[in-house]
Amino acid sequence: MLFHSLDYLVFLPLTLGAYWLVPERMRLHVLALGSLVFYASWSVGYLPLLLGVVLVAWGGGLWIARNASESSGWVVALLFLPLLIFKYWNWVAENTESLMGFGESVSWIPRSSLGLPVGISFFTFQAVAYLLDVRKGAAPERSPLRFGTFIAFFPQLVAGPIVRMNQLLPQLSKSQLLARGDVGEGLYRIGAGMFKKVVIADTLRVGVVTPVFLEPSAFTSPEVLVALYAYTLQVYCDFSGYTDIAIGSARLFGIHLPENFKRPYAATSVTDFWRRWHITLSNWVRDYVYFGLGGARVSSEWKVYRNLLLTLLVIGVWHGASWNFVVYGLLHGVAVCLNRWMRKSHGRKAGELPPGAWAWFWRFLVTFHFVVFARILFRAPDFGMSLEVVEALLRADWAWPRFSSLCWILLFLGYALHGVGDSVERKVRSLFVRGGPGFWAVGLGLLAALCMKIGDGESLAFVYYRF
Amino acid sequence: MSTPPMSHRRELKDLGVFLLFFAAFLIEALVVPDLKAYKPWIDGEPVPLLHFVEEQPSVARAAPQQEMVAAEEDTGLGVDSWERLPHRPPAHPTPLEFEEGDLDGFFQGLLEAEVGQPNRIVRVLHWGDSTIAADGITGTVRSRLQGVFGDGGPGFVPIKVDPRWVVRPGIARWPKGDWDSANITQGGASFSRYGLSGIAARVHGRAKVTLGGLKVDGERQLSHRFDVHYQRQPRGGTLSLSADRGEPVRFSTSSSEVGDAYVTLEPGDGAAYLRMYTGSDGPVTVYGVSIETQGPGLTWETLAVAGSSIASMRRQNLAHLVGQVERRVPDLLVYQTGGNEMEFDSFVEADGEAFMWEYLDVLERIRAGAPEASCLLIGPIDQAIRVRGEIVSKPLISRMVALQRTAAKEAGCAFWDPWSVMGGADSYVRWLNMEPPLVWPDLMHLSKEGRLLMGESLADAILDSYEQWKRVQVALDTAPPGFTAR
Repeated sequence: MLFHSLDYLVFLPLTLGAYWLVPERMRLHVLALGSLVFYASWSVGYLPLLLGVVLVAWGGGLWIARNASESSGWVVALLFLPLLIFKYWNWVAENTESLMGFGESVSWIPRSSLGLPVGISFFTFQAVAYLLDVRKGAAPERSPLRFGTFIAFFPQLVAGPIVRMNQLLPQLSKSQLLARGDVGEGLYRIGAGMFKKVVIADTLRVGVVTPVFLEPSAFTSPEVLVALYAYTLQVYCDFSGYTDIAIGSARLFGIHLPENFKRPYAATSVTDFWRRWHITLSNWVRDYVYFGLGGARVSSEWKVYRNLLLTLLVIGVWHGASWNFVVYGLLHGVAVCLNRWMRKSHGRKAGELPPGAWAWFWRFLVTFHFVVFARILFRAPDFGMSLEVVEALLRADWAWPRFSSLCWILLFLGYALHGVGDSVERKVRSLFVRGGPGFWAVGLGLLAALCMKIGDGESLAFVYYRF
Repeated sequence: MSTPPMSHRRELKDLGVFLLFFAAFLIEALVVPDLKAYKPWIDGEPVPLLHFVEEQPSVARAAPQQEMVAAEEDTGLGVDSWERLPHRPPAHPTPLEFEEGDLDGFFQGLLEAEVGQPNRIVRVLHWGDSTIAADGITGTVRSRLQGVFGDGGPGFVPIKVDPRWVVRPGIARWPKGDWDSANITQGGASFSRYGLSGIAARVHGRAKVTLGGLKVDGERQLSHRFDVHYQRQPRGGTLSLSADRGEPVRFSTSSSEVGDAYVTLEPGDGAAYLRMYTGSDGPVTVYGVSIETQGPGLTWETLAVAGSSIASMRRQNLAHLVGQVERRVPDLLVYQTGGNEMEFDSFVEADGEAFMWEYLDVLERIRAGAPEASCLLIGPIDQAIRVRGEIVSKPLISRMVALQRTAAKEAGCAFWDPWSVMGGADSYVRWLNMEPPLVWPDLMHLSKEGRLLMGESLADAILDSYEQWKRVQVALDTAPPGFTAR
């Protein structure tokens, strides 16, 4: 079920009610059952897959802890297997056949006709991170119930944040209590997420992005450019809106999930961007791929660049089985390598702030536009379409873009809200929280009415849930 | 068991109060009639959570193409026409509907081109709205039919268009200078003279435009006839025309009275480009240029303006329109509309009878310039609206189709139904869910793939009807010598 559906509007209060009304010792059961019901709403057929991943990861963790000297690669490989089959098999098969057929159309590798299970990339990475942490010495979780809830916790199950064992398991291990502000802040995050997702992201998607990317040649260069800016905002509002709802929902259970976004389009370098965008994925890939390859502590500088390239390549490919994503990852990898090289040649330290407003501004402008234009690869379904978009941009034919006033308003509003400073955002949040239950109900009720009125009303998935 | 801290109890209380308040809002929205638009659920919609038990999505990948549905019960035209037409799912094979004799003139012209009658150009003038202006449907039909009957050239092209809406891929149309244009949708042309295509170009001062046909094998095709349609007007400026680097033809567009005029260049060996220059001695208004090869062949001329409707078509000065049509000597007049008239009072009220008469009036205006030409009316595609998250067809589309079908019969025109091609009611959402989508998410337009598919379907229908007509001619022994029906 989608977060912005009536189903979730009924499911969440029912689960909350059950959770807080049952005796404390039963709360984990309620959470686990609710999470299974949540996942089953997407497809009961894939429940065994989720349960299988839980079982293998849980059992694997115990085995690794007991057999520290043995190789544990096979367990990790076993966990990755469903992801490889469901997500990458057909693409690998197609490219292998193409390579071996020397350009001729041959088909000898059987294809999978199974749809991609919702959230598979997220819970697979979460499970693998658990195993690798246990390998490094963390104590494995002995309770299958607690472990299952850790992997399948419904707010973050289908599209993150990707949670580490030390972030969630301790919270599931103690008795959950609501701290002061949990409910208000949780509801605030849910409301903010709904606004970003339904009002901004969905409207821009229907009114600007989808038409242009469906047929770039039918639109002028300014329209394609506006669509790129709109898509950049749409994907942020879609994904961060989802994350807000996830974090807000978890908060109502007294559980804190990690943040996944930190004003990513205010980044002043591509490296900085990946510290602000999909933070939990970046951290995962940093910790288990980059550091696993040696990170910056390798014998030669070119190996650092190699590690950076491979790391960003993994991030690219994680998003999908397509050459577009390979190139996307490599492009970002090259940019990150360039950032490092420039930083080092100027003698700056990693994370050092730009020296002055002008330095900040041009770095922000270049970084932002790099991100915007790289999104062509992210959005276009294949290379052909990517090229069509670029051709349309280069056509340089001027005519006023044909988008509705609402889309223009939301485009500017969305970027303005993104640019709002943390202190302003904190003040607004604090005002909301202080308003109390009646105020929250009025606020969220009006928001729901607004969503029905100017959202497109279409129940569509978040961009990231199919990853 | 220890007592939970005060903060926890307070937060739980707040949560409970919030849920009660929020539930009260939902119940209010459900029961208060004035809040109907905000009802979270209405009778007939899936029951929250419970519907997951009833409808379990399959784990298999969704099939991108829908199965073909037998069309004979949709069109009522019998199994044999359905079986003859190529199957192009999800499009439904849809033949032309016409009475015997309605298209004889057009088919005769096609036959003459097919057997190679020298210089025979079969001209088809196709008016419409944005669905046509994108030239996806017409371009496909043009390509298919020119492949059979020969390339007659691009036909009539306006010289300055809004590139966001009006497209003719491949032809050379390069205006330079301060041209502007006025079209029948937005108005603004002096004396209501918009030219054959409904788009008149104007300039005051030096300007230029280069025009040419398609590229064939990397080379611009040679055109043998450039017929310039322009406006004579008081203090009109000078126009200079040359075909490739040939001797320019200069003339003044000035006249004591406003009127329409034409200048024809016929370079003997053909020319790739027509170059048109305007002087700085006065305003110049050019409606467009007809570009033709020496034949035999066919032209399928896209004369559409985005947003066009029967109301905008009536914006044209009638005598001017008659003259423009007459000049082209068309074999077939095609008119496709309906999408932009769905909210017209004349259509919505009283079963739309007033609309039908207005529609017939527009048809009469178009035909006045070529009363002997055959005519073909084409209905609207399916359009949709969003209702509580669902995409549903506009309820009155079927009425529009029925009215136009009746009008076609009344006027002795053939009729073709794109709505049936799409699959009738609620077909928009099915076409939207195709991979790639065949329609835009604006719920009104076909996508590039959709236009290609629709164009192929129309070409199939025309060629099928032509073949059937030829069979009859052979049977009647009226076909020309050396001719064989396929």
